[in-house]
Amino acid sequence: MRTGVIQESYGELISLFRNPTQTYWTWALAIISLAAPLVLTGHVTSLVNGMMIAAVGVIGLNLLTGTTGLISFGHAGFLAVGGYTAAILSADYGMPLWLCLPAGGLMAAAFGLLVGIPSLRLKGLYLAITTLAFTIIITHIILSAESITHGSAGISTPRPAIFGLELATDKSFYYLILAILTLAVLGSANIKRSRIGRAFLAIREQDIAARAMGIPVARYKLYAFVVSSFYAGVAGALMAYHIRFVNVDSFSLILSIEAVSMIIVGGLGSTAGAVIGVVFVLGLAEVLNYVINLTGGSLGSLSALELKGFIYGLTIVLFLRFEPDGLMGIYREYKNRWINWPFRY
Amino acid sequence: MNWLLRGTLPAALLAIGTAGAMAEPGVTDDKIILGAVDPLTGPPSLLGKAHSLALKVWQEDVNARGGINGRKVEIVFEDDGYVPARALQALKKMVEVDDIFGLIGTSGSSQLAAMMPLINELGIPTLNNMAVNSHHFDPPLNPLFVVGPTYCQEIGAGMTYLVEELGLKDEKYAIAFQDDEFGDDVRCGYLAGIEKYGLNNVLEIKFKRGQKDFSAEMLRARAAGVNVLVSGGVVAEHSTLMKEAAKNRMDITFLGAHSAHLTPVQALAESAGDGYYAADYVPPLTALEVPGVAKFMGLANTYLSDAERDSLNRYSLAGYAGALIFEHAMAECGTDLTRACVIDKLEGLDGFETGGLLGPVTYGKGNRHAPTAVTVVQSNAKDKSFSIVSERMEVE
Repeated sequence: MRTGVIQESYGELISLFRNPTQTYWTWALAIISLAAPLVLTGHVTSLVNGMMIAAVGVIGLNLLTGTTGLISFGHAGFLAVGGYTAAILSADYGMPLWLCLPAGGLMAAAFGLLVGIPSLRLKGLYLAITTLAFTIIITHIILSAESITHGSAGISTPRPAIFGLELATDKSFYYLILAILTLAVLGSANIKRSRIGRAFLAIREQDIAARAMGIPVARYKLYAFVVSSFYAGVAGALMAYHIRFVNVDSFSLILSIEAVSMIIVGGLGSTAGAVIGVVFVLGLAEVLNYVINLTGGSLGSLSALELKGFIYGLTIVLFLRFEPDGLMGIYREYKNRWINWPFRY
Repeated sequence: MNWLLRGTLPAALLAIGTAGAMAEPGVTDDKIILGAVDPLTGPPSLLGKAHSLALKVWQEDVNARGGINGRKVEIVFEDDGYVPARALQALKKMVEVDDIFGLIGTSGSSQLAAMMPLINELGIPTLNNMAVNSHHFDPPLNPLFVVGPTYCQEIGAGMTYLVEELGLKDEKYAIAFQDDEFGDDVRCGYLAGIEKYGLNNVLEIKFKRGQKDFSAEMLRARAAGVNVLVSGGVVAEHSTLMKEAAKNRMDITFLGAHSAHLTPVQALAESAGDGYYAADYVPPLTALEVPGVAKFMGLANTYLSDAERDSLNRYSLAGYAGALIFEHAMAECGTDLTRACVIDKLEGLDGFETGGLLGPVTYGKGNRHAPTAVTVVQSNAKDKSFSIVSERMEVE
C-alpha cells in the first residue's frame, strides 16, 4: 500500500518535482505536447493556441489573485497594453517578434506597477472596482491616442516570424506559444516555491500577520502586480500575433471576468489549476458549440444557441457553488482517497 | 510503348485535371458549401439573427429552384458573439472542417478585419454586406467585395436630404457620436455635410459606447439651441438621446445611420421615436412596392416560422441582396465553379440589379467597393414602421 510521499529535507520540500511519478507524468505531458500538432487538425491547433495564450495570462492572474489574494478585474486592460504594444511595434516600426513579446510584457508590467499602488491601501471589492476602472481607462486612452494606437480602427499585425523564420501556420506558431507557456509555468512554479512566493501566500492569508513577520507587504504586493501584469502583457502580445488584428473590442471587460472564473474553476492558487481552468472554460464553450451544431441543424437552431449560453453559465455557477476548491480540489480529493484507501485519512 | 505513352499520358493529365477541379474547396458535383459568420448570441444578435435568417430563406429558395447549375447550396453558420478572435476561429473552422467555398456573412467591422488576412491568403470569395468600413476595401483585397456605402457616405447623403429636401440650412446642427469606429465614421459624414453646405455646427458630443444617461449631453444641446442632431449611437444610445430630448421638450430633428432603421430603436424610444430620419441603402421591410422586398417577404412567409419572421429587419434585406449578388456570380461561372471564377465574375459586375433592394452594384479592377445609393426613411412610431421619404441618392 502507498503511504504518500514524505519530504525529508528543505531541498525536497521546495523541489520542482516532488516524486518520480510526477516527473514521469511531466515527461509524458511534454512528449504529448510536442507531438500534438502532428495529429491535430489546423483548426483544433488554432483553438489549442488560443487556450495556451489564455493560460499564460491566467497563470499571471493566479499569482496575483490566487496566490497573493489581490483580486483583479483589470487583466483585460493589461492584455490590451501588451497586445497594443506588440502590434504598434511590429506593424508601425517593423520590430521583430522576439522584441515585441517582451516589450508587451514590460509595458504591461509598468502599468501593473501603477495600478498596484492603490492595492497598498485597498482590498477585496474596493480593489476589484479600482482594477475594473483600469480597463475602462485603458480603453479610453487607446481610443483617444489615435496617432499612436490608430484609435477605433485597430491595427493589423504582420505574420509572426522569429529569427527570419516565418511562423505561417498555426502549427508552427504552436511551438513558440508552447515554449512561452512552459516558461510561464516554470516561472510561476519557481516564484511560488521561493521566498517571494511564501511572502505572497502570507499576504493572502493575513497581511497584518505577514507584516508582523517582517515581510515588506507593500513591496511584495507591488511585485505581485508587476509579475502578474507582465504575464498578461505577454499573453496580449501573443494574442495580437495569433489573431493578427487588435482593437478595443478584443479586450472587453468580460475577458477579465472570464479569467477570474477560470482560476476559480481550476483551483485558486494552483498553477496547474489555472491551466486546467482555462482548458475547462474554453473547452466547454467549444464542446457545447460542437454538440449544438450536431443536434441543431444547419442554422444551429436559434433557440439552441441561447440554450448554449444558459448551459455554459449554469455550469460555471454550479462549479463555484458546489466545488469552491475547483478542479484541482477534486483531483486532490480523489488522489488522497486512492493513496489512503482503505482508510479515510 | 509509344502508343501506350500516347494513350495514357493524356488520360493521366485529364485525371489530374479532374482531380484538380474536384479539389476546389466546398464544391462537389451536387453541392456548394458557403459559410457565414454572424453574431447569433449577445446584444448584437439582433443583426446576426436577422442576417442569418435571410440567408436561410435564400438557401431554401435557391435549392427549390434547382440550385446553382444543378448544385444545391448549403450554408454553414458560425456564431462569433461579436468578438474578433472568435470570428477568426469560426472562419478557420469553416475552412478546415466544413471546407467552405465562399463567405457570405462577415459579422461586424472589426470581426471582418480580423478575418481579412486569412480571406486574402486563401483567396476565399467573400461578400461583406453587414458593416462597411473603408479599411475593408482601401487598400482592396482581391477576394473581398463590399456592398453598401460607409456610414460616412450614408450620413453625408442624409445631410443632403435634410438641407436640400427639408430646407434645414440655417438650423443649429450638432452631433453626438460614440467613441468607436462607428461613431468616428458617422462624424466623418456629418463634418462632410457641414462643410459642403456651410452649416452652423454648434456642438460635437463624444460619448462612451454603451452610455445609458444622456441628460447632461442633451442639456448642453439645449443650451446651445440645437435643432438638428445627428446621432452616432447604435440602438439604445440613439433611442435614449431622443427620449432625453423629448423629456426636455426640445424640438429636434434627428438623423441616424442605418443602425437607427430598426424597430427596437422605435420601441425603446416610445413616442419620442416618432418622425426621426435614418439614412439607409436598403428599403424598409414594409415597402412591398419594391419588387425585391415583396419577393423576399413572400419567401419569408414560405420558409420561416412566425417567430423567425418577427426577427427580420433591414439586415435581412442586406443579407438577402448580398446572397443574390453571390448567386449571380456563381451561376455565371457555369458548371466549372472555381473561386477564381467567382472573384472574376464579381469584379465584372456592372450595374447589377437586386430588384430594388440595393442601388445598382458595380465593381471593377482594383475596385472592391460598391457604395450603393442611399434612401432616407422616416420612423412612424405609432404603427412601428418606416416609410421612404427620399429618392435614391447616389453617394459621394
